[in-house]
Amino acid sequence: MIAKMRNKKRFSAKAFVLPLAVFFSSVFFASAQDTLVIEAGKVLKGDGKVLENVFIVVKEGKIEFIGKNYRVKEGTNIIEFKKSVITPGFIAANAHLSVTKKTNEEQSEITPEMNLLYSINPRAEDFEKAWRSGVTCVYLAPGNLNVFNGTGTVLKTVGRTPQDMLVKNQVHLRVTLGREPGRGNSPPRLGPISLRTRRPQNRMGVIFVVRNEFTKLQNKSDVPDSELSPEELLLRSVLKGEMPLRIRARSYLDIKSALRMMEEFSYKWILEDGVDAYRYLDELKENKIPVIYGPVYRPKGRRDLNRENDFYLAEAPILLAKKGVMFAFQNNDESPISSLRDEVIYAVQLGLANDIALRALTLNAAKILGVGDRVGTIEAGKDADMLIFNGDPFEPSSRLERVIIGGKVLNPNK
Amino acid sequence: MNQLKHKYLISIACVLFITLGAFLSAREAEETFLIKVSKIYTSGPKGVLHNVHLLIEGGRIKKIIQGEELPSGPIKDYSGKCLVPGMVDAHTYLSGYYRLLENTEVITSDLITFAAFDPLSPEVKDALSSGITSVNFVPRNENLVGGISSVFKLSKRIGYLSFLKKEAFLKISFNAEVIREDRAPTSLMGAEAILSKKMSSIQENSEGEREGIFQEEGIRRLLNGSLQPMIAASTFEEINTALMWLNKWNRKGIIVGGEEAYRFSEILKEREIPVLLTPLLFSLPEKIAKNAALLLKQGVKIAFISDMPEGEPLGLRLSALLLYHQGISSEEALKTITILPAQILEEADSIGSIEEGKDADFVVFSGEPLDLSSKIEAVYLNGQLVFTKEK
Repeated sequence: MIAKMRNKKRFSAKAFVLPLAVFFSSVFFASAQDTLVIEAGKVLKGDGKVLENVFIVVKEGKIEFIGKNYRVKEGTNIIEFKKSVITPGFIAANAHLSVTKKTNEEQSEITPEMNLLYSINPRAEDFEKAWRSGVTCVYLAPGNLNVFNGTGTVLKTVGRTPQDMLVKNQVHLRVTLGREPGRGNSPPRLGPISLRTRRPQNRMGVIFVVRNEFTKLQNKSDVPDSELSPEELLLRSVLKGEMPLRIRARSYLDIKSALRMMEEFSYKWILEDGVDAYRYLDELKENKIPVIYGPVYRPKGRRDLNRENDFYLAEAPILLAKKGVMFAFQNNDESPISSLRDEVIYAVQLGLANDIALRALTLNAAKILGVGDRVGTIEAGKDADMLIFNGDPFEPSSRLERVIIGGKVLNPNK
Repeated sequence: MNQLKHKYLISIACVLFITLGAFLSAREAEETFLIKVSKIYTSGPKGVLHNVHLLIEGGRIKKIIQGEELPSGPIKDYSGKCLVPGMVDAHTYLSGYYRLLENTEVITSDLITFAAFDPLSPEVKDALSSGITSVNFVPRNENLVGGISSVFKLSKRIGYLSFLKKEAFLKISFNAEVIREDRAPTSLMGAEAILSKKMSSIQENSEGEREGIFQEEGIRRLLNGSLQPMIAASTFEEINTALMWLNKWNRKGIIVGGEEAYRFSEILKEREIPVLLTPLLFSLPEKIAKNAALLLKQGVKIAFISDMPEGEPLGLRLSALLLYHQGISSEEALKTITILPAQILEEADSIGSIEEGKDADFVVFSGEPLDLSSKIEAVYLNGQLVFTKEK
């Protein structure tokens, strides 16, 4: 009996020691092999600072250390980029990518609970185009054919599933002002009654829908959270100032409407697609409203698809920067994501300062999206999203040589 | 007067004939006989058997006899032939393609499909003659919630269906066919939102007044756990949405279609979600058959469906063949059209394999079942010969 027990004990000890040994050895190897050390010639950190001849240590997809004093252990993976310029990965604060089949949910004009995350295909071609041109992070939101479109999603551009790529979900609640939500809607006297026999048909109707929803909720201020539907809860968090509203207002008319409604409902908001933003510089500066602008270049004589009256001006980002309004860049259906850097280069050639342009593409975009703690600069503790150029990033002749996303080194030219 | 008598005689003769027929058929079901066959793919724990006799009694397999003394009785000799279990089609519209479409609303969770089954349709004959014996008869993909499917044995007799499960699965669809321009879900996220909204509203007032009974009953039963969802989802986005929805409502379900299911093989295995795959195609054999084999190797339960009448009944056998060409043994490949669909339909205790005590549903091939040149010699359903090759 005792012998048997001893036997058992010895066996269990063996069973315990073996996996432990395997575990420790794996940890040991991991510490040497999973670390990536980049010897960088010049680092533009994204917040305006410049470092020269430093080591960047990447471990488990995060930046562990950045500085000059680092003793390289044997067996670590070192990449030398002594003549290159390293910047943080670019962030498109609003991206127009075809990564889902249908983005517009038109069951109603008010669909704030919509979220694109699960209908995104990570193998879509546009994600590849994005990272190959240096865009490591994008903001995607439901389409703009109704008034309350839904909440946006911030994603990395490389990953196996959208859940892997996710940086932050339910970022801003987007409202579209202007003519777009009314497109396709019809009054009941024309043809049979259908899904789109409803308000609004024009921008007055859109303002009505927004004000109607917010007023209805203001009247319900006594009702506790538990009795509200998920959509109403989202709208309430907007009115409380917890979730920023992202207002898509191309035209100066709509920007003015958004400013007027802000006085009425005192929401926090971000101006998206602000083509005419430079006409309200004082108001935007005073109320600290960030602007998402782009594309910078529009061919002469070409008007917006909706025939909106906007006053496109290529120098708009320079005016915004001069006034001190926080802004970031976006692409839209007229310019592919792969030309985001080219757009910014155009702005730089028109007179935008290099460091402000870089900041708009990285840190400011991250701050506007509320993900400034994870991406946007090259700092210890943040995600290892970096771009390696063989010259100044806003020099047209310099080439993007490597893209690092989450510690993974990718070659965009292969 | 004479004429009237004549009519009487004819009607009496008719009645006699019918009763005799019914009596004979009843006797046939009770009949005991032996089947002699050279090779059996049992799809069960016994694997492949050679030179066997099957004792059939009362429509069931009573005994598998190997090298023992044979009991007396009539013997049906299929020596030199190969026998496989009757095929199970876990998702089919056969005979009722247009009758299964109830497109007035997006959610029609009350409809039960067996009312649309037409035993006289030539498709039933086609299916039986190609070895399909049990089917899961499902609503179409056009509705977000189509209705409740039924599992039964195929039969050409009118007004008679031997059900395995009258109300089996709730058919939900996240397919591209649901998303249209002219009605409510115009996007995938909207489809999921509409369904979840409906479910939570039903959950909230489960005791309260019922609005739109046609929309509700199936979902009510889904919520109390008496029905399992069967979700049509083919592309990556659709399957991702389906998995998210299943997770949200804490349900185990079945994925139908599953063209890109291989991209979720780990999650599907971990959460034990089976996949019903549409027939493999010769046009892209490398691509699709490879993915099916990948799922099977990863340990995900898969089964092929014929998708009749969009597909051919032969699709089941062809799919198993293409799987065989991806390095799966013919025994394992045959399981994907016999025992695995039976397990997915939760009917594996009566159909899907050749085991003692199970229903006597089987197909006799002239040679190896995955050899395309071998033909079906006979199909037995509940111990009765339902198809035989014309000589």
